Amino acid sequence: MSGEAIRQVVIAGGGTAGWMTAAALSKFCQRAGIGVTLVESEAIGTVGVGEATIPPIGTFNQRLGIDEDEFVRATQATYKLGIEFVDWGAKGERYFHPFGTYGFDLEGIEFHHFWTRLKALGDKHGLDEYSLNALAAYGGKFIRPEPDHGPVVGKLAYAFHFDAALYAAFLRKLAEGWGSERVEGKIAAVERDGESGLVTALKLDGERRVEGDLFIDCTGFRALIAEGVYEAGFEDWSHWLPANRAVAIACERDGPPQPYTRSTARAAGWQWRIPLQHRTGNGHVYCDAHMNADEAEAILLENLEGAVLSSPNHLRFATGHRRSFWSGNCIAIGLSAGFLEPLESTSIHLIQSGIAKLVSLFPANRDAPVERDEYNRLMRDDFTHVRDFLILHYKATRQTGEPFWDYVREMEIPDSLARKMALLRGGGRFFKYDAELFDLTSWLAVAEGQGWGPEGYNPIVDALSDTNLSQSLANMRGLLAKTASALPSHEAFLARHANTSAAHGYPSPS
Amino acid sequence: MSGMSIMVVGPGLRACIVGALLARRCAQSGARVAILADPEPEHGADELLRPSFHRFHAEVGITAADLDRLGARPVTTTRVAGNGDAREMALPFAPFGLPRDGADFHQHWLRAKSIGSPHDIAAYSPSFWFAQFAGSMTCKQAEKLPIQTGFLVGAHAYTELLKARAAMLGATIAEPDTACSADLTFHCGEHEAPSQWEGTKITVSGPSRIPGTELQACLHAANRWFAFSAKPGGSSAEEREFNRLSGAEAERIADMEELLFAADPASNPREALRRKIDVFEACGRIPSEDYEVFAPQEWLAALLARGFYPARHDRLADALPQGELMDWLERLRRQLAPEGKAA
Repeated sequence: MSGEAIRQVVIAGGGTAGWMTAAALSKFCQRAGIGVTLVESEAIGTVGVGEATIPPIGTFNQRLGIDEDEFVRATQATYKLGIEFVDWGAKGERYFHPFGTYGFDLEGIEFHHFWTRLKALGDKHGLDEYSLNALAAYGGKFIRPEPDHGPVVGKLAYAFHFDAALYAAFLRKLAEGWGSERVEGKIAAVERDGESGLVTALKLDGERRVEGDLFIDCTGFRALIAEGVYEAGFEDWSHWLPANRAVAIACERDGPPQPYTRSTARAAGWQWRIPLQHRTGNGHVYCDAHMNADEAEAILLENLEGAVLSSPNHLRFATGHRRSFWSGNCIAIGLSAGFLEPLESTSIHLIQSGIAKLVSLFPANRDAPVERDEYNRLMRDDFTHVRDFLILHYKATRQTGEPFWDYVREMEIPDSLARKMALLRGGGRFFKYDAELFDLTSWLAVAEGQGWGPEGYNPIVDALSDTNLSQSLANMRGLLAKTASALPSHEAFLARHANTSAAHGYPSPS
Repeated sequence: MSGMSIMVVGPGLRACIVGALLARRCAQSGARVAILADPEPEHGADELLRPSFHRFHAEVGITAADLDRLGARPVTTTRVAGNGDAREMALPFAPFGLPRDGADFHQHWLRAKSIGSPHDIAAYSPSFWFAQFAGSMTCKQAEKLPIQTGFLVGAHAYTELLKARAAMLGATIAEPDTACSADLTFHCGEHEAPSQWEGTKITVSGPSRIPGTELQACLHAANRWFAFSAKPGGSSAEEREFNRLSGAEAERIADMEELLFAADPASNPREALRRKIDVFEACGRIPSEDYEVFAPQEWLAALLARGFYPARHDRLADALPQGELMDWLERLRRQLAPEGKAA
């Protein structure tokens, strides 16, 4: 170590969080002469959550200089245009939460006010018909928007489904190429400075020590340093998000990969379906107060769309986050920082968000109270904003008769969410907090999709005659439908750009 | 909205800004707007209209030619007189330089400074560059500038123009002592910030020491009401949200006032400002709050002007090789101010 200055970063734990962090730090900090060492053990498995992502992942990859086609090939990725929610509002209903935006604003007034008024006049066209993402997703279409595609195709926003383990391996290769060192070994103990309390080294099995100035805890739910050493504490949100167990399993694909995730409500939780090139990822998130593990596994197995490829993997989790993400000279990133169920595919995003803030606030010295406080504030905000959006999915349900759904429908919700729901419901008003992840489209999609959509609209919209309103929105629908129909199929796009075999039959897993 | 009546009262310019915007927004909906504005002195001081007024002008039909006829002048910065002997400060409307590789421009500049670049960040500001010519430019000429601009305009003449526009848009212009009642009343400039909505009365925020912010707050209050409700009595959720955002706006203005005018802003107890100063000094990052009134480049200019300087730059700015960084900065600087050439 070199005095108080940061010269060596040590990442405890590999997996998606560890290798995303290693890749970013080695890319951005190497010019400053900062070394990056990652300690992991092949004997410790990774949870591998986060096969589905949201659009900002593209920015992370771009910043690392990753070629998108190469990434898609290496991680068996497919493209994702949004999430289909089945049975969430009530049994038999479905809706689509698209990336991108709905329709086109008119005269500076947001599109959805016009749509709400048309609906009030008796029109039956749903929001999906104004979303290029939803139209393309249900049509099995995809194209990567390029500047010369024009403004309508430019509305298509996308993310990926990918194999998280392959993504970690892909990033490991990059990180090692940029100078990161990998050390194989189990962490036996954490050494601290007797005076400052700061972490000085990881002691590995045997007599090996890995010294550092700054430590990143990517040890998953164990939070080996953040909790084990610093006792950072845990902000528990399970009273708002009571699901606390999951069972995951992979199965064969039963058709072309759909460019969207599916989430289906179950009796005490929900089931995910994530199509990759080589398999389909499935999981059942549930609350153990209302369902046991055997029941949850049975429901999952009954609802697979292809032959099983792996043994069920059962997970336990608590929803919430570390009270302090950054304690002393240790920053918790990934599951060690906190966990929010993957209902909106935010797991990898929260890792990415932590890394971006760390790079931006990267401390000069081992003890950096200003940077630490700011990092903790920003991450708390990130988790809180996502939390509120997830709770909306449960609170806005109309399901009755199942104890789990009765509880979430009736539960008290945070003030911040109650305010947002009241504004959206009353007059279609939406206020986005600084750096809030989910925007109007997302809130509108879920609220409307579950029967909590706007009942009123901006009265200025009344200035448009009924005929003009109807015609303007019909034109929008026509334009978007025509554009969607002209897009290539998702399968063909994958085959052409990522040179996958997706278009040539459905490969068995290797 | 049809049949609803709105009354706007208060000092001439402030009431006319609110009234003209409401008249425009309500023009086709059947709502009636009456403006009862106090007169503005004929030879009063010029007022600064921040860049947000461009959209307002477009909405109510005020052109650059109209502003030229009033003798308005384009400006590219807010000039703020410091306290006592403190020098004048300028807050630019346009960002410094260009962001690159995910890092704000000033992070690259900080890195360049740390390795010996002699140039002040002002050398990379199109706002500062154009400021030297803005005084001799017309508003119409300024329209062609590739950066954001504001205007300095005589309050009396501008108020009369707004009255005329509002009348054309259907508003009633009445004397301030006219007996009048309405479903909703906007009281402008009557009280200290923040703006407040209570039932059928909206009080619009009061004075600020930073030029342009009070008029902008009037515009924001009218816009906000329109965005949240556009009816006399909003729901309690709408009123609360209006008041919450107005409060946040007033807090941000107060933060900037403290930074610009306090004898020792570093010792101030305002939490958000304290955070801005601390984080900026630590790593050059400028934390943003849920409602920001001033753009990042305005905070940056103010922080630097008050003597705060980061200990280091963002690591994202390290991605560029050193030679490439210096070449890029030099190209930017020369593009902005080619030696021996005027704008």
